[in-house]
Amino acid sequence: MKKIRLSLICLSVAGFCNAQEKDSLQSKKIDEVVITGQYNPQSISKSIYKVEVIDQQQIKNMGATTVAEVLNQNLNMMIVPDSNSGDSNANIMGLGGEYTKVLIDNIPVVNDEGLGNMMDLTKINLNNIERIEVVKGSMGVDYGNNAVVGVINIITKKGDSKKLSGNATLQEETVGKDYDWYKKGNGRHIQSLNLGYNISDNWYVSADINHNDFQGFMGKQKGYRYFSENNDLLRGYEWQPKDQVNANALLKYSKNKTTFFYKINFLNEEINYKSNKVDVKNFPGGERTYYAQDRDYFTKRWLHQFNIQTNLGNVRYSGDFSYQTQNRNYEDFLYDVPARKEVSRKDKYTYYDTEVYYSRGTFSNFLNSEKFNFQLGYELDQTSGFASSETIGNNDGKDLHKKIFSYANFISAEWQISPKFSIRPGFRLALSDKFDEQYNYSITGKWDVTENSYLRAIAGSANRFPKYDELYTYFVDNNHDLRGNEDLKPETGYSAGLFYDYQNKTEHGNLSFNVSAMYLEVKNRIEAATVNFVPLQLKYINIDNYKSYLFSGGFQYKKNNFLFNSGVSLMGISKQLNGPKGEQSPDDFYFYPEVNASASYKLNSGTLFALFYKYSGVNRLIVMEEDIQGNAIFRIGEIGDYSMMNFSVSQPFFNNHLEIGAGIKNIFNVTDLLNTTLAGSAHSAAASSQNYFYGRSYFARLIYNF
Amino acid sequence: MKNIFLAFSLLGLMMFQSCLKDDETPVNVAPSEGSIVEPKVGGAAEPNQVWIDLSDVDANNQPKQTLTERTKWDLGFYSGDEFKVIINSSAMMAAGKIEGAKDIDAVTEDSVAELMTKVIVANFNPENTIYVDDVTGNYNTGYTAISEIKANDAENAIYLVNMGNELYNGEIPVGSVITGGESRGWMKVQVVRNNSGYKLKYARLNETSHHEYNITKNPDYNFTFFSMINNSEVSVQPEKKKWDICFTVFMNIIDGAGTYIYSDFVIDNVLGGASAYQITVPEGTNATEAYNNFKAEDVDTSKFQKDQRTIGGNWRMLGPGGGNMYGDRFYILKDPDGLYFKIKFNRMKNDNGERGYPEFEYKPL
Repeated sequence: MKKIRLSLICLSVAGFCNAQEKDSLQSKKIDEVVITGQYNPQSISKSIYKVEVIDQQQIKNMGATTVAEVLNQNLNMMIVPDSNSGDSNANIMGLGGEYTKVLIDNIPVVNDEGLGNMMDLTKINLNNIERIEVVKGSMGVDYGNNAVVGVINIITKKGDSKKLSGNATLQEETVGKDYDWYKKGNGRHIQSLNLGYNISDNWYVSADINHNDFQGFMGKQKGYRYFSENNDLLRGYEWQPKDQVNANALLKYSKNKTTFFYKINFLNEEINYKSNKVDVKNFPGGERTYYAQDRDYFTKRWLHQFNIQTNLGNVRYSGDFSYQTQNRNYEDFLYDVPARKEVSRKDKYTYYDTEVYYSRGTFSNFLNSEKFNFQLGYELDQTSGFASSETIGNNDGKDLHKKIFSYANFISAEWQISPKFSIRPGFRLALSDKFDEQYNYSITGKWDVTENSYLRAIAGSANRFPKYDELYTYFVDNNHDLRGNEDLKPETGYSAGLFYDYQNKTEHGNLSFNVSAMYLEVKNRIEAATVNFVPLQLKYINIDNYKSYLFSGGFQYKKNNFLFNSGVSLMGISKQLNGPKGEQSPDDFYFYPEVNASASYKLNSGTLFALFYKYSGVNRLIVMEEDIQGNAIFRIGEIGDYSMMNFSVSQPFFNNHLEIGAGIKNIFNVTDLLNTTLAGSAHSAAASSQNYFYGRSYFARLIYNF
Repeated sequence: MKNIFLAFSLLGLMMFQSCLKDDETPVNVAPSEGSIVEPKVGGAAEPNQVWIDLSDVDANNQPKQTLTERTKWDLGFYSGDEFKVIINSSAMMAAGKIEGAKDIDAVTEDSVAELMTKVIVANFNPENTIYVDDVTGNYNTGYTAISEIKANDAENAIYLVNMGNELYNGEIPVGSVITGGESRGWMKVQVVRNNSGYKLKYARLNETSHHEYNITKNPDYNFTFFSMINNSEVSVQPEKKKWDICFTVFMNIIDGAGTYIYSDFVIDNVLGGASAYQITVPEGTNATEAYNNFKAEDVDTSKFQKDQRTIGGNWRMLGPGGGNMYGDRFYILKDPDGLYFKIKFNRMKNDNGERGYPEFEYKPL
């Protein structure tokens, strides 16, 4: 019982964690500091890249429970759940999760097939997160392959001003309308505990644990106890039940110019897949019952990270060393639905197993000059991957064992041409024992137009490496022939953007606004294409192109206890598709608007109100289907528009020791969206709507600060 | 003290929450009526054709099953009045006429190179249906890939025959079927009449001489079966009045997409005189009860179909995680002797989730 184990841990520490009677209100930093793409931690206005920051307070105000939920509030980001597997997929600027690099504390995170890309953002919890930094644009020079659309950098908390700090949080949430406290019941139940302790002026230690117990969303389905003699497919859940435990421990040392920390993160996730089908089971004598073939999925992930920042003479050194593993397996079991009991369970079956050794290091400040600085860096990883045969088609029962070693060197220079103008060109050479060498380039320029306004111009490139299924799929039977292609080249992405920021601090409040324009292009996109008609054969090849424009603007106003944020974007995407007989789709741009806004207000009593809103317009894109003669038919598919609104209130008590919060998520009760962008297949017509959200839900939260 | 109290209340809440158990009282399911049958299809490679005579039952009420390995036969010679020859659909065979060929020994791989790119099934080419036999099973009157054998020998063409595939003997992921293994190669075939029977001439494509074999019609059977690979007649189907349904791999036609290979297919003996129809239970009605309550007087004779695919693949659905039966339908079958049966399909997998282990229940009406 995980909950009991967690409770025992709480119990043992609660004793000595007797209150440190100190004001827990943190002094808010004047200017936020960011690290993504910087030589050294840098204030957001001085940063060479345009970094969007989502801070802890905002995350708290949203009542969000996973990184996925937070990012859904961002423009041009949508994390889509896969109701079958319980995993989720990202759609960022119209491209999938394999085009975005996800980092925790500036290093990529292990996943099913490698490092950093295709991260399931519902598998990263928000406990102990200080802020999330998002940079849009190709960042291959700094972060290597797959940073095509951009980088999401999750920064954890690594210090506290108090000698002993800690808090315990309890959050109870409805899932749609459903909520109860049963063991296999309804709702979402979250418990977490954070502890931090300053051992001395130089040493800091912290630990935290979070348990997120999601009991599933039934929607049109009727739960695990339901069965129909007509086998009407209504058993189970639209979103499978999921239970996550996430724990971190950190030891940090800092003195003068040297800082190092060692951090461990552990994730244990269990997804209980309940089949929507039942099989009748007959016994001799005429007795019968109904069996469901259910499956429990388990994911275990360990992240170890050692980071050091120090001076070697003048030279500033920053190094990361990391060892990460992730194992995913499942157990199939037979459940006798009318009898409500498990009949038999099969052995564990591992379908993904990944082990990564990773290191990244940078050296800068060789010349110790304010005017000119350059950075030398290396990044290397050895990734051993296992994928079972069934993840890549039938493959004759052969599993996949892959070991890839990659090494990259990168160099960039920061040249302060005048007090107001600086540029930074960059270059990366990446080698691996699997692909040809890759080159990435970047150039950024920053011009301080006035004291309060900046203009940034940023261009860069990055490659996307093929996925396992694209390389190794082998799905061949009487009727089908779909094969991966080990000769695939990486896709190449380029981006260029202009970003203008203005900020002004007056006695009437702080005001800032920004506008930007960005262009992104991906060439040699990999798609499964018909390579032979008789017999029909499909193969993954480098064929399609993708282009997009993103125009956006933002506005922020802050005065005393009032904070208002808003953004608007217009995104245009052109995806050119190639048909089996050489047909090409039109490469028109389809634009869609998005708007977001948030506001928070704090009363003198400490009561905080927060409101979040996002509108996403109708998203159009070209879909290719084949008619029965194998000719390509191009049509325009749509994803419907929607509005998302969240509201929360929180109230501190007892000198901020206790805080009670409550809120409503998804106020407009959005569930399914129209989606005609999915192509039909020989077996089935495409669905015309897709479940994106589970509707309006309510949460209540109790935070206890030691 | 206050803090400790609060901490403990929090912990209390957490622990309390996991202890409540929801109502998990078992519910009862009505028992089944009639016989439960497990046709021995043979697992996920589906090696067997299983011919079942519902009226020929043993002491345990189990109907007689006759098993044939699918690839044991290549051609079937019709025993009725017409002179018709069928190819083995369950082995994914196909046959195409070699235009202009007069001498079977002169046909070589080179002379039919172009035709060999066409006589292929299951490639989503809608034009490939001319290389297979009438899928409805009315072979005596319907289309066959090898045209009706004419009295005038000169009118009987030489055919290029794609022998289809062997059984698959590799590992098959749980929940999947693989019904085709390695290719069985190509043959050239010519059939002429021989008095009231047939004369078969055949050879491998590049052979310069050929085999000949005389076949006589046996009116107790629908067909006389022959294996060109083993150069011998083989016993496949039971006598024509002694089978009602057969579990087999089957090459069906999907409108517009040409031929497509189905596993778990069930055909009924239309040539022997059997026919069937499907009853779909309306939503909201318990299908088991509807099936149990169905009586002889409910049979609607106007609904019987002269199509061996009436049951076909309609009894099961495919999708993620393997297949599953439709629970909302059952079938009425009239056997060659005119007896009525009701048949309901229960499963297509065993408890391990492996395909090729179907189960049905049936009852005479």
